[in-house]
Amino acid sequence: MGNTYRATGERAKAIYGEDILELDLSVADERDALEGKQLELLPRTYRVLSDNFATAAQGETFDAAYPVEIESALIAGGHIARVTEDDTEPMTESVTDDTKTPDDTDVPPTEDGATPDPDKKGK
Amino acid sequence: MSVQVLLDVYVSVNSVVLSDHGNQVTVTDTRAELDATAFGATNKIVAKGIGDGTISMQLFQDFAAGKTHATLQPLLNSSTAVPVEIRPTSAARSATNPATLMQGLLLNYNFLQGQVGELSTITAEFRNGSQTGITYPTS
Repeated sequence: MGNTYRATGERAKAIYGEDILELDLSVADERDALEGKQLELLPRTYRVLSDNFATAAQGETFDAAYPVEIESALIAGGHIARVTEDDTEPMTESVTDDTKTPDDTDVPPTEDGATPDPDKKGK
Repeated sequence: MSVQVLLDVYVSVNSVVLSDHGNQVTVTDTRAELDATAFGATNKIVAKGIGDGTISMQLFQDFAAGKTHATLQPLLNSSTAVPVEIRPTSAARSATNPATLMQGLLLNYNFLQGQVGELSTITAEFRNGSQTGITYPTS
């Protein structure tokens, strides 16, 4: 899984040009390029999946520029996921059982899959 | 005299809050001791050398997504230092609640340890992985 960079050093500009580019660099190559100020790591958008991530709340999105290994560890740990352009809908938290009111009893969906209006329940 | 009872210590690894799984932390910020004693001396003299830092923590093991194992295990194979932050309480950083911050490399992780009938607890030890060493930010 590649990261997005911009060439900042003269050598990198000669190799990659001055446009924003997507590269699939190894950990060592990325570290060399960043520490050598040849490439600048550009932020991307992530969605928080876990409930113990300090940067943002579960379901929220945030922008960050994570090196390959940091991003990999957070994704593998189930904390964040990349938000792609066709995946920008915010996640909504599901209603848990203990937040339901006595009137919110489960109503099975109708045969066409739609959830019936609870006000018409039993009528 | 105001004493501190550890009740609500904040433990964060790679921006993941693991406080609710932790029950012990140790932050060690040291400077190398260099023997500067020369011939003719009547007392040993030490000079202070370069710094070093270690943050170790004891956590309850949890294999659920986003919890102890899922957070720590990927870091064992990582050579990139991650932020490790400890605060006396979970309140925001302040002069009376200073953080301990270190870019750390996870060098020791005990996947399982304990005896029959015990809670499964693990220890994780982070060593300093950057030239900034351990810092104590208050904001």
